Amino acid sequence: MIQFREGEKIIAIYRRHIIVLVSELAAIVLFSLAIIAVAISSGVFIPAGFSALYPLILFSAVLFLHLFWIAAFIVLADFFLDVWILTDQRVIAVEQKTLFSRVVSECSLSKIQDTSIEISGFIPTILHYGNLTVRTASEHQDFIFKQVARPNSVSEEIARTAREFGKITNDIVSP
Amino acid sequence: MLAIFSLVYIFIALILLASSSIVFYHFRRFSVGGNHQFIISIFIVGSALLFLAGFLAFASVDWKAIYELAVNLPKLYDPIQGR
Repeated sequence: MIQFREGEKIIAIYRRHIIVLVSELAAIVLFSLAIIAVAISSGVFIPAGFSALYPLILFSAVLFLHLFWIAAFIVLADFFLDVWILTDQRVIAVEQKTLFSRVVSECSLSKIQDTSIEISGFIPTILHYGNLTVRTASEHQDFIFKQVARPNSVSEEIARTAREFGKITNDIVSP
Repeated sequence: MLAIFSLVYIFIALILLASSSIVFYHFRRFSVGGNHQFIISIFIVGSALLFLAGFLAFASVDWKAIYELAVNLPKLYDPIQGR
């Protein structure tokens, strides 16, 4: 859980574009539908002598569906737990690399230097999503808002927030 | 034989339960913003239904009949005659 400072106000929370989630879930949904189709059709097409196998096929189908159900929610967890938070004091980047690997980094608004946007590919261009890199004065790596929706608007909002609150934050941070 | 299959099923069910718990824990512990309670509720309800369906499907399998089918398979299907 991210600990916010006292009086810290969340300006915006950004996640990847929803199409990223849809494309990742599509394969799981297709496989699940295929399993359901096999389970249903096996009841019709199974030879009379092998009817004892039908409950076993149904059992296997349910087990596979359960596995896909969990896989779908692992994908959902990865999507919803990858988050970039803009507050009136800092930018927080949370990246859920795998279920047991998580990177949380933050940067004060006063340290933001510039931003750059990268939109590459047909679908990202059509649906307006891409990577937004926020360069900071910190020695650590830059912040990359991955596959974020409308990176232009996000960039403007970060710049506006940094202009508005950056100096105040600087005053608070440096005594 | 039923005991062996039951043990295997219990083992699989435990793995599924552990995986479900890990996913549930991640949503509860790390979620920021948004209404994740709804997603968690769907996950729990879906997992519970699939556990129930899995248990019912397991209970409906006639393992003895499958064993006899496997033993008698050469008699049922003649690869030379193709039936």
